[in-house]
This record gives sequence, C-alpha cells and structure tokens, in this order.
Amino acid sequence: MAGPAAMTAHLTLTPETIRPLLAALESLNNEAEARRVALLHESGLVLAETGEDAHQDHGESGALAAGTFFAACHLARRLGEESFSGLHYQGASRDFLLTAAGPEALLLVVFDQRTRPAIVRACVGKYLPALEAATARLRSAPTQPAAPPASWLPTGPVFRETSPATTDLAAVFHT
Amino acid sequence: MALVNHQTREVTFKIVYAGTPMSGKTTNLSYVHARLDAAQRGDLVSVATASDRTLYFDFMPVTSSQIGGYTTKFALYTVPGQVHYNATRQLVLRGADGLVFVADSTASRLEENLESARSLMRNLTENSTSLQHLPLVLQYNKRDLPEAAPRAHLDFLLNRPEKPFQVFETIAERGVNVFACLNAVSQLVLRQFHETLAGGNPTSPAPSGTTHAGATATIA
Ligand SMILES: Nc1nc2c(ncn2[C@@H]2O[C@H](COP(=O)(O)OP(=O)(O)O)[C@@H](O)[C@H]2O)c(=O)[nH]1
Ligand SMILES: [Mg+2]
Repeated sequence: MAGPAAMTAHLTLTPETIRPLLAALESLNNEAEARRVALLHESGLVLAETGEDAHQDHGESGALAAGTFFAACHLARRLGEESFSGLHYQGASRDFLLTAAGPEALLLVVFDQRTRPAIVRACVGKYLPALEAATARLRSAPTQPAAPPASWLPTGPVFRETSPATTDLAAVFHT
Repeated sequence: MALVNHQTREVTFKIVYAGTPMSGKTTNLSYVHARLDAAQRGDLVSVATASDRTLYFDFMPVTSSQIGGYTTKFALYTVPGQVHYNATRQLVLRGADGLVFVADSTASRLEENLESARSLMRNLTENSTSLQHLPLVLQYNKRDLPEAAPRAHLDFLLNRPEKPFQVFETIAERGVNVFACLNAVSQLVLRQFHETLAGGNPTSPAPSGTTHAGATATIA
C-alpha cells in the first residue's frame, strides 16, 4: 500500500486535522448505528476512533485488525480474488467490517443486531471519501508547531524493570 | 513512522523484534510484560498456533513516562522468523521505528541466524527502508547455554558493518539484559525522532552509552 515516503515521514494529528476525521467517524457511527468506528494506520496504529465500544484497549484491537485485514487480503489473492477491498465478520454478538480507507489507512466498524450489514456498508461508502481526504491531510500537517525541545532525549532509562510480584502473602504481611 | 497526536499529547512508535525462529523473541515480550508496571503496559496479544509458535505476531503496547511533555508510547511487535512467513514479516515491519534482531547463540544455529538476518535485510529493502534511518540493536540470546557460540563468532557473522550495532548478550528466559536491550532501542528511536524533527541536526549530545557504536552489555 504505502510508498517509500510513507515509511519514513511521521503522521501528525493536530486539533485541526483530527476534527474533520472525528466528525466523519462520528457521523458514520451514528448513521450506521454502529458500536465502534476506528480509523487505523496500516501499521496497526489507531489514528482516531469513536463509539460506545471505543477506547476499550491500548491498541491491541488495532494491531489485530490490521493483521486480520492483510491476512485476509493475502488469502483472497491466493484464492484468485484480484481486488480485495475488505471483509465482514459475522459473529453471535458483534459483527465487524474491515475495509481499506485510502492508500495507507483501514477502517474498522464494529456493530451488532441494532443495525444491518447493508446499512453499515452503505454508510461506509458514504463517508469513505471524507475519511480518505482527512487522512491525506495528516501527511501534510506540520510535524511539530515549534522546534523540538532537547528534553525529547530522555536522560534515564525509558523503561524500568520492577521486582517480581510476590505471591507469598506471609512475606507481604511481615514487611 | 511515529504517530504524533498533538491533541492528546501522545507520540507512538513501533518497535519490532525480528530474528531467528525460536531465538526468544516472544520470551522477550513476555518478560517485559511480567516486569513492567501494569499501568505502563497493555495486554500481550499473541497470534499463535495451538503449539504456541508465533503465527502472525505478538503485540504489546507499552507507555513510558512523559518525555518532552508528551506521553510516549511504543507498540512492541515480534515477527515470526520462519522463512515461509516472509509476507507476514514484511507487513509487520511496515512503519517500524526501531528493530531488535534476536539471534540464537546456540553454536549449531549460527547459520540460521545469518539466513534470518539476510532475509530481514531483504524485507527492509522491499519496504524501501534502510538501516541508515532505522535504528537496530542486536541481541545474542541464550547465553546460558553451555553450547553457546563465543560472542566473537556471532559478531563475525552478524556485526561487521562500518558502524557496528549495539549488542546485548541476554538470557531472555531469566530476563538478563532484556530491559537493557529494550531501553537501548527505545533511546535510539527517540533520538532518531528528535533528529528528524530538528531537520537532521541533533541539538544535544547523545546520552552516554546509548548511541555509541558497538556499546555492549555483557553478562558476568
Ligand atoms: N536456554 C534458553 N532458552 C531460551 C532463552 N530464551 C528463550 N528460550 C527458549 O527458546 C524457545 C523459543 O522461545 P520463543 O520466545 O518462543 O522464540 P521465538 O520463536 O523467537 O518467539 C522457548 O522454549 C524458550 O523457553 C534463553 O535465554 N535461554
Ligand atoms: Mg514467537
């Protein structure tokens, strides 16, 4: 999907660039009566999301969704499908739809019996152009409003190792 | 490819653990998961087969303290090392900001390490990425094994570029040097990001021991 430029440059979300993105996601979520709508970068990063099921994890779903999308894409190609645009998983309590949104983003829509797949698909079709345009704007946004502070370079270790969790209750109560 | 969110004041980077099959990549992530403050990490998600081999990838989100007024997050991934997962590896490597190459010190597996390293280089080339702008640290794992090859043999095979990579000799199973390695690659990623923002001109000296070529952490 992404070309060389996409590999190196950073993606920037500013209040100005995220507003149209969230607006489109919210309209899509409301009109489709979905539970969660997320725009993901193809690397698995969540760019923006909305809905009552949103913000439930720290990116685990985004990573899995991107993996699922590309795995299905490769499978489809192997099976002789020339153009793969997305997939629909039909579950007992939740459905999800995964579809490409422009050259380097994916759209994840999670929904349930409150709505119908056809309605969700129609709404996705309606808002996809706006989402693609808003995503393209992330590339052109300035990375940082001001010069980077030197404090970007941490002085100490980035991560600290904790001691193993003790399961010995006696030890806990006697300290 | 960092994701900078000025609205939430978060920056997210992607670090990928690549390397020889069964060298200990998943073990690295498990150890970090076990020893990082729970508030700083999400779930360790493994797309594995029933026999626990990594099928697609492992993933774990981790958060460091605030840096430069921004919450800094790292998405840690492992990629399967097996040759037939080439396409998978290629995808998971997309958008990586830093790499850890985990080699297996077992003497009989030296050749496999080399093959794995070559395959990673091919993946990077196909993704139009080069190690010139993508920080990489080397990890020689399983140093506890009596049949571990001498460090010099691994260096000879894997670490002879003009500017050698930082090397960490680890025992991932016991966590020896696992955090040191993660911290080193995170520091390099942050430094690279800083340099990109500054237009290629680092404005302050490297923190000692983190970017010095060939710096090592050995096990006693
Ligand atoms: N002796 C020894 N074995 C290790 C070490 N680290 C990992 N292993 C073992 O190596 C095997 C493969 O580890 P795993 O993390 O699944 O490898 P991956 O394929 O690279 O993800 C497992 O049986 C681990 O227990 C180590 O430091 N020393
Ligand atoms: Mg594994």
